[in-house]
Amino acid sequence: MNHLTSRLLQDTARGWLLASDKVYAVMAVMILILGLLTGLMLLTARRLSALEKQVESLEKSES
Amino acid sequence: MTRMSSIRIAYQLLAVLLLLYGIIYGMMATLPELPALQQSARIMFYHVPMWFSMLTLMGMSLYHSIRLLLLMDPDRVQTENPLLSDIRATEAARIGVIFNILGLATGIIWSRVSWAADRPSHEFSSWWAWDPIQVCALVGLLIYLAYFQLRASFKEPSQRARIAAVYNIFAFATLIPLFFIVPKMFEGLHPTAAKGSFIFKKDQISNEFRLILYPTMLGFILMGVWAYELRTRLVHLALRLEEWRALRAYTHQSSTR
Repeated sequence: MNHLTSRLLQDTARGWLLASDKVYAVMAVMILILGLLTGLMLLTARRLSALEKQVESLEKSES
Repeated sequence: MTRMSSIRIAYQLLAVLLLLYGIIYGMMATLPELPALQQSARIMFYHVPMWFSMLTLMGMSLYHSIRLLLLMDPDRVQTENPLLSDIRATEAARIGVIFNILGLATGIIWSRVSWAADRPSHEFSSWWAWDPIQVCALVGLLIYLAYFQLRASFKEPSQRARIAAVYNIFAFATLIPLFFIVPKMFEGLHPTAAKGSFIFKKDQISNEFRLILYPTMLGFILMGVWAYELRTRLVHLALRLEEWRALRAYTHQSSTR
Protein backbone atom coordinates (compact mmCIF):
# COMPACT_ATOMS: atom_id res chain seq x y z
CA MET A 1 0.00 0.00 0.00
CA ASN A 2 2.81 2.35 0.99
CA HIS A 3 4.66 1.50 -2.21
CA LEU A 4 1.51 2.19 -4.24
CA THR A 5 0.92 5.55 -2.53
CA SER A 6 4.51 6.55 -3.08
CA ARG A 7 4.33 5.56 -6.79
CA LEU A 8 1.09 7.48 -7.17
CA LEU A 9 2.62 10.56 -5.55
CA GLN A 10 5.70 10.31 -7.72
CA ASP A 11 3.69 9.92 -10.91
CA THR A 12 1.43 12.83 -10.00
CA ALA A 13 4.40 15.00 -9.19
CA ARG A 14 6.16 14.02 -12.40
CA GLY A 15 3.10 14.54 -14.55
CA TRP A 16 1.86 17.75 -13.05
CA LEU A 17 4.73 19.51 -11.46
CA LEU A 18 7.96 18.33 -13.00
CA ALA A 19 7.28 18.93 -16.67
CA SER A 20 10.46 20.09 -18.40
CA ASP A 21 9.39 23.68 -18.92
CA LYS A 22 7.58 23.82 -15.54
CA VAL A 23 4.55 25.50 -17.08
CA TYR A 24 2.30 22.86 -15.52
CA ALA A 25 3.36 24.06 -12.09
CA VAL A 26 2.26 27.59 -12.98
CA MET A 27 -1.09 26.23 -14.16
CA ALA A 28 -1.49 24.15 -11.00
CA VAL A 29 -0.88 27.28 -8.90
CA MET A 30 -3.36 29.30 -10.92
CA ILE A 31 -6.08 26.62 -10.78
CA LEU A 32 -5.56 26.22 -7.03
CA ILE A 33 -5.86 29.94 -6.27
CA LEU A 34 -8.67 30.83 -8.63
CA GLY A 35 -10.59 27.60 -8.00
CA LEU A 36 -10.58 28.10 -4.25
CA LEU A 37 -11.25 31.85 -4.26
CA THR A 38 -13.99 31.88 -6.90
CA GLY A 39 -15.54 28.71 -5.42
CA LEU A 40 -15.74 30.31 -1.98
CA MET A 41 -17.10 33.56 -3.39
CA LEU A 42 -19.77 31.81 -5.47
CA LEU A 43 -20.84 29.75 -2.46
CA THR A 44 -21.08 32.89 -0.31
CA ALA A 45 -23.01 34.75 -3.02
CA ARG A 46 -25.46 31.83 -3.29
CA ARG A 47 -26.05 31.74 0.46
CA LEU A 48 -26.36 35.54 0.51
CA SER A 49 -29.06 35.60 -2.17
CA ALA A 50 -30.97 32.81 -0.35
CA LEU A 51 -30.84 34.85 2.89
CA GLU A 52 -31.92 38.02 1.09
CA LYS A 53 -34.95 36.18 -0.30
CA GLN A 54 -35.79 34.93 3.21
CA VAL A 55 -35.58 38.45 4.66
CA GLU A 56 -37.69 39.81 1.83
CA SER A 57 -40.45 37.23 2.37
CA LEU A 58 -40.38 37.82 6.14
CA GLU A 59 -40.71 41.56 5.64
CA LYS A 60 -43.65 40.99 3.28
CA SER A 61 -45.42 38.70 5.76
CA GLU A 62 -44.81 41.27 8.49
CA SER A 63 -46.42 44.10 6.55
CA MET B 1 -28.04 53.52 -8.40
CA THR B 2 -26.36 54.91 -5.28
CA ARG B 3 -22.81 56.24 -5.24
CA MET B 4 -21.66 53.33 -3.06
CA SER B 5 -23.05 50.67 -5.37
CA SER B 6 -21.42 52.28 -8.44
CA ILE B 7 -18.04 52.34 -6.60
CA ARG B 8 -18.62 48.67 -5.71
CA ILE B 9 -19.35 47.69 -9.32
CA ALA B 10 -16.34 49.71 -10.56
CA TYR B 11 -13.83 48.00 -8.25
CA GLN B 12 -15.28 44.55 -8.89
CA LEU B 13 -15.03 45.12 -12.65
CA LEU B 14 -11.46 46.38 -12.21
CA ALA B 15 -10.59 43.26 -10.18
CA VAL B 16 -11.93 40.96 -12.92
CA LEU B 17 -10.12 42.85 -15.68
CA LEU B 18 -6.80 42.94 -13.82
CA LEU B 19 -7.00 39.23 -12.97
CA LEU B 20 -7.87 38.30 -16.56
CA TYR B 21 -4.87 40.35 -17.69
CA GLY B 22 -2.67 38.67 -15.06
CA ILE B 23 -3.80 35.16 -16.04
CA ILE B 24 -3.65 35.56 -19.83
CA TYR B 25 -0.63 37.81 -20.17
CA GLY B 26 1.14 36.13 -17.23
CA MET B 27 1.01 32.81 -19.06
CA MET B 28 1.66 34.05 -22.60
CA ALA B 29 4.16 36.91 -22.30
CA THR B 30 7.77 36.31 -23.28
CA LEU B 31 9.86 36.71 -20.16
CA PRO B 32 13.61 36.66 -19.57
CA GLU B 33 14.71 33.15 -18.59
CA LEU B 34 15.95 33.05 -15.01
CA PRO B 35 18.50 30.40 -13.95
CA ALA B 36 17.00 27.55 -11.83
CA LEU B 37 13.52 29.05 -12.01
CA GLN B 38 13.01 28.88 -15.81
CA GLN B 39 9.29 29.21 -16.66
CA SER B 40 8.27 28.56 -13.06
CA ALA B 41 9.25 32.19 -12.38
CA ARG B 42 5.72 32.96 -13.64
CA ILE B 43 4.41 31.58 -10.33
CA MET B 44 5.63 34.89 -8.88
CA PHE B 45 2.61 36.62 -10.47
CA TYR B 46 0.22 34.49 -8.39
CA HIS B 47 2.27 33.64 -5.28
CA VAL B 48 3.53 37.11 -4.28
CA PRO B 49 0.05 38.78 -4.51
CA MET B 50 -1.26 36.26 -1.95
CA TRP B 51 0.94 37.83 0.75
CA PHE B 52 0.09 41.42 -0.17
CA SER B 53 -3.63 40.55 -0.19
CA MET B 54 -3.23 38.83 3.16
CA LEU B 55 -1.46 41.86 4.67
CA THR B 56 -4.13 44.23 3.29
CA LEU B 57 -6.95 42.15 4.78
CA MET B 58 -5.18 41.72 8.12
CA GLY B 59 -4.66 45.52 8.11
CA MET B 60 -8.39 46.00 7.52
CA SER B 61 -9.12 43.58 10.34
CA LEU B 62 -6.79 45.56 12.64
CA TYR B 63 -8.53 48.83 11.69
CA HIS B 64 -11.96 47.42 12.60
CA SER B 65 -10.65 45.95 15.87
CA ILE B 66 -9.25 49.35 16.93
CA ARG B 67 -12.50 51.00 15.85
CA LEU B 68 -14.49 48.50 17.92
CA LEU B 69 -12.46 49.28 21.04
CA LEU B 70 -12.99 53.02 20.47
CA LEU B 71 -16.74 52.52 19.94
CA MET B 72 -16.98 50.44 23.12
CA ASP B 73 -15.44 53.23 25.20
CA PRO B 74 -18.03 53.83 27.97
CA ASP B 75 -17.41 57.62 27.89
CA ARG B 76 -18.31 57.79 24.23
CA VAL B 77 -21.80 58.50 22.90
CA GLN B 78 -22.87 55.42 20.91
CA THR B 79 -23.55 56.37 17.32
CA GLU B 80 -23.47 52.87 15.84
CA ASN B 81 -23.49 49.25 16.94
CA PRO B 82 -19.85 48.33 17.82
CA LEU B 83 -20.55 44.66 17.06
CA LEU B 84 -20.69 45.54 13.35
CA SER B 85 -16.98 46.34 13.58
CA ASP B 86 -16.48 42.92 15.21
CA ILE B 87 -18.12 41.22 12.22
CA ARG B 88 -15.92 43.25 9.83
CA ALA B 89 -12.72 42.46 11.77
CA THR B 90 -13.50 38.73 11.88
CA GLU B 91 -14.43 38.41 8.24
CA ALA B 92 -11.37 40.37 7.06
CA ALA B 93 -9.16 38.06 9.16
CA ARG B 94 -10.98 35.01 7.76
CA ILE B 95 -10.27 36.00 4.14
CA GLY B 96 -6.71 36.93 5.16
CA VAL B 97 -6.22 33.41 6.53
CA ILE B 98 -7.41 31.94 3.21
CA PHE B 99 -4.81 34.05 1.38
CA ASN B 100 -2.17 32.90 3.88
CA ILE B 101 -3.02 29.23 3.20
CA LEU B 102 -2.96 29.86 -0.57
CA GLY B 103 0.40 31.64 -0.24
CA LEU B 104 1.85 28.67 1.62
CA ALA B 105 0.41 26.13 -0.85
CA THR B 106 1.67 27.99 -3.91
CA GLY B 107 5.07 28.44 -2.25
CA ILE B 108 5.28 24.68 -1.64
CA ILE B 109 4.53 23.96 -5.33
CA TRP B 110 7.08 26.55 -6.45
CA SER B 111 9.87 25.27 -4.22
CA ARG B 112 9.06 21.68 -5.23
CA VAL B 113 9.50 22.31 -8.96
CA SER B 114 12.38 24.76 -8.74
CA TRP B 115 14.64 23.64 -5.92
CA ALA B 116 13.59 20.09 -5.04
CA ALA B 117 12.76 18.61 -8.45
CA ASP B 118 15.42 15.91 -8.10
CA ARG B 119 14.22 14.70 -4.68
CA PRO B 120 11.76 11.81 -4.29
CA SER B 121 8.14 12.79 -3.55
CA HIS B 122 7.87 10.79 -0.33
CA GLU B 123 10.59 12.87 1.35
CA PHE B 124 9.16 15.65 3.55
CA SER B 125 12.01 18.00 2.63
CA SER B 126 11.02 17.89 -1.04
CA TRP B 127 7.76 19.68 -0.15
CA TRP B 128 8.70 21.72 2.92
CA ALA B 129 11.96 23.65 2.54
CA TRP B 130 12.23 25.14 6.08
CA ASP B 131 12.76 28.52 4.43
CA PRO B 132 12.62 31.42 7.01
CA ILE B 133 9.66 33.16 5.29
CA GLN B 134 7.83 29.85 4.91
CA VAL B 135 8.20 29.10 8.62
CA CYS B 136 7.26 32.69 9.59
CA ALA B 137 4.15 32.49 7.37
CA LEU B 138 3.15 29.24 9.07
CA VAL B 139 3.63 30.86 12.50
CA GLY B 140 1.50 33.81 11.33
CA LEU B 141 -1.21 31.39 10.19
CA LEU B 142 -1.22 29.62 13.55
CA ILE B 143 -1.48 32.97 15.39
CA TYR B 144 -4.56 33.89 13.36
CA LEU B 145 -6.10 30.42 13.76
CA ALA B 146 -5.73 30.97 17.52
CA TYR B 147 -7.71 34.21 17.06
CA PHE B 148 -10.68 32.20 15.79
CA GLN B 149 -10.24 29.63 18.54
CA LEU B 150 -10.24 32.43 21.13
CA ARG B 151 -13.44 33.85 19.67
CA ALA B 152 -15.11 30.46 19.83
CA SER B 153 -14.42 30.18 23.56
CA PHE B 154 -16.67 33.13 24.52
CA LYS B 155 -20.46 33.11 24.39
CA GLU B 156 -21.26 36.66 25.38
CA PRO B 157 -20.96 38.74 22.15
CA SER B 158 -19.59 42.02 23.57
CA GLN B 159 -17.02 40.23 25.77
CA ARG B 160 -15.97 38.08 22.80
CA ALA B 161 -15.68 41.14 20.57
CA ARG B 162 -13.56 43.12 23.07
CA ILE B 163 -11.13 40.30 23.90
CA ALA B 164 -10.80 39.22 20.26
CA ALA B 165 -10.10 42.85 19.24
CA VAL B 166 -7.27 43.16 21.76
CA TYR B 167 -5.80 39.83 20.62
CA ASN B 168 -6.12 40.91 16.98
CA ILE B 169 -3.96 44.01 17.62
CA PHE B 170 -1.19 41.80 19.02
CA ALA B 171 -1.65 39.27 16.19
CA PHE B 172 -1.08 41.98 13.58
CA ALA B 173 1.93 43.30 15.50
CA THR B 174 3.57 39.86 15.24
CA LEU B 175 3.25 39.96 11.43
CA ILE B 176 5.74 42.85 11.26
CA PRO B 177 8.77 40.93 12.61
CA LEU B 178 7.55 37.69 10.96
CA PHE B 179 7.30 39.13 7.45
CA PHE B 180 9.62 42.15 7.44
CA ILE B 181 12.45 41.56 9.95
CA VAL B 182 13.16 37.82 10.43
CA PRO B 183 13.35 36.99 6.66
CA LYS B 184 16.02 39.68 6.22
CA MET B 185 18.16 38.11 8.94
CA PHE B 186 18.43 34.55 7.57
CA GLU B 187 19.34 33.14 4.16
CA GLY B 188 16.71 31.00 2.44
CA LEU B 189 15.02 30.33 -0.89
CA HIS B 190 13.61 33.86 -0.98
CA PRO B 191 16.11 36.51 -2.07
CA THR B 192 14.92 38.83 0.73
CA ALA B 193 17.98 38.28 2.96
CA ALA B 194 20.37 39.54 0.28
CA LYS B 195 18.18 41.99 -1.61
CA GLY B 196 15.50 43.20 0.85
CA SER B 197 12.00 43.73 -0.56
CA PHE B 198 13.28 43.20 -4.09
CA ILE B 199 9.98 43.32 -5.98
CA PHE B 200 9.85 47.11 -5.60
CA LYS B 201 13.45 47.73 -6.64
CA LYS B 202 14.01 48.68 -10.27
CA ASP B 203 17.47 47.13 -10.45
CA GLN B 204 16.36 43.79 -8.95
CA ILE B 205 13.38 42.89 -11.10
CA SER B 206 12.97 43.49 -14.82
CA ASN B 207 10.19 45.63 -16.30
CA GLU B 208 8.66 42.61 -18.08
CA PHE B 209 7.93 41.06 -14.68
CA ARG B 210 6.82 44.32 -13.06
CA LEU B 211 4.35 44.97 -15.88
CA ILE B 212 2.44 41.80 -14.95
CA LEU B 213 3.15 41.52 -11.22
CA TYR B 214 1.83 44.90 -10.04
CA PRO B 215 -1.56 44.84 -11.85
CA THR B 216 -2.11 41.19 -10.80
CA MET B 217 -1.27 42.14 -7.22
CA LEU B 218 -3.88 44.92 -7.28
CA GLY B 219 -6.38 42.52 -8.89
CA PHE B 220 -5.98 39.95 -6.10
CA ILE B 221 -6.19 42.64 -3.39
CA LEU B 222 -9.46 43.89 -4.90
CA MET B 223 -10.73 40.30 -5.15
CA GLY B 224 -9.94 39.86 -1.45
CA VAL B 225 -11.88 43.03 -0.59
CA TRP B 226 -14.77 41.74 -2.71
CA ALA B 227 -14.79 38.38 -0.88
CA TYR B 228 -14.62 40.23 2.46
CA GLU B 229 -17.58 42.41 1.52
CA LEU B 230 -19.65 39.38 0.50
CA ARG B 231 -18.86 37.56 3.76
CA THR B 232 -19.62 40.65 5.87
CA ARG B 233 -23.00 41.12 4.19
CA LEU B 234 -23.80 37.41 4.66
CA VAL B 235 -22.95 37.34 8.39
CA HIS B 236 -24.70 40.65 9.02
CA LEU B 237 -27.87 39.45 7.30
CA ALA B 238 -27.80 36.08 9.11
CA LEU B 239 -27.53 37.88 12.47
CA ARG B 240 -30.40 40.22 11.57
CA LEU B 241 -32.55 37.25 10.64
CA GLU B 242 -31.66 35.46 13.88
CA GLU B 243 -32.54 38.56 15.96
CA TRP B 244 -35.79 38.99 14.07
CA ARG B 245 -36.76 35.35 14.68
CA ALA B 246 -35.89 35.60 18.39
CA LEU B 247 -38.00 38.76 18.70
CA ARG B 248 -40.89 37.11 16.88
CA ALA B 249 -40.72 34.03 19.14
CA TYR B 250 -40.65 36.28 22.21
CA THR B 251 -43.69 38.35 21.14
CA HIS B 252 -45.56 35.17 20.18
CA GLN B 253 -44.79 33.67 23.60
CA SER B 254 -45.92 36.77 25.50
CA SER B 255 -49.16 37.03 23.50
CA THR B 256 -50.14 33.41 24.22
CA ARG B 257 -49.61 33.88 28.00
